[in-house]
Amino acid sequence: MKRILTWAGFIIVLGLIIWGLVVANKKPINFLPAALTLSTEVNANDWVKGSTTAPITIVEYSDFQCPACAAYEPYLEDLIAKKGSTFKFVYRHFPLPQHANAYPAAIAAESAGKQGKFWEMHDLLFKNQLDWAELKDSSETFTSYAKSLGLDMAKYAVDVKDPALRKKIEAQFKTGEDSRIYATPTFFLNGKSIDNPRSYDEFVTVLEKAAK
Amino acid sequence: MMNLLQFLKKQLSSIPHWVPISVGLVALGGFADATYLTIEHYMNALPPCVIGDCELVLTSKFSEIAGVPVALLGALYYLAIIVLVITYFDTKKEVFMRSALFVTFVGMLASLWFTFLQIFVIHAFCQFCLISAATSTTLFIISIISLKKYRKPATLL
Repeated sequence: MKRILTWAGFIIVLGLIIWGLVVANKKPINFLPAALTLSTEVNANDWVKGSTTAPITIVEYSDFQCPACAAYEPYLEDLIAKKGSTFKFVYRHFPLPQHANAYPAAIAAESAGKQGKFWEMHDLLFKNQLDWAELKDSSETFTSYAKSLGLDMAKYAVDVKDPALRKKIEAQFKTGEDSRIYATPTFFLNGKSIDNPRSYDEFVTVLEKAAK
Repeated sequence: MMNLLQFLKKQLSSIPHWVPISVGLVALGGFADATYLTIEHYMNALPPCVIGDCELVLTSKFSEIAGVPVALLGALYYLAIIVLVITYFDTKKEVFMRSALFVTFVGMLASLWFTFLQIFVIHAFCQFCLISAATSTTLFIISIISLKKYRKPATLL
């Protein structure tokens, strides 16, 4: 009898622990204690996709070297392709200091942007993140992406050294800090931060709720 | 196999209660920690990238062995210790407690390896991994003390 009690107690305790942890995980540890407020309105310096006139705006603070950001990329791409007429999507740089190649990647994307190919470079960087994330020197890889996009390489070489692009990225980083974010990706829906949706369907729900 | 059992039987005289109780509780803590990371691994796939750098550790190639997350291996390791401790309480056969004490050596080696990777290879830390390293080290220290202190004089021959 005592035997059964001991083992039953053991299984119940383990069960409770696992159940508690699953529940704790379902409501993800909220890195952002309450909804944060976007410090800086969408402006002419921002990269915008989707509808420019829609009343719903999603701003993403992202880092090209962040694995979670790369994981979100396909959802967003799908969302913009299918629901792009209902919302405005804005990408802002938040290159985290521990990601050594995130900043050069942001520079590469901005340089491509100078020739109208920001989003193309953005897509290439995320799709091939594993190829360059750990490189000591990522510049050759980024140059090869620029070539594959058919950029004017002489102009690209000048632009990657342009201090104005650095300033722009640093300014966007600062708007993130001013909004008090410290994780990527962080999404703002109409100026208020939201818990990161965990699937394409959750993104659709967020949009539908906002449209009501 | 018989020799191993005899060896384990010989190592200790009677074990005081604090040993299995503390080993069981610390292992339970380690189990909760490792299980949390395992669930996180399967449910969220990827933690967000925070200023600080735990995602570098949790998404590194060292976070899985042949597709199995090391957090799951850690959870199973702690579970094995808990099962051995409870079996010891249940059967009163000290061979189970001794086995639990020896199993902690495996955890200690694994923790040394993963802490080494965090310091010298990944150059980043994850707090849940460090908690597990701490519980493994605690278990190892309890084992060393118990195995030294409660050894039968006969084995000194």
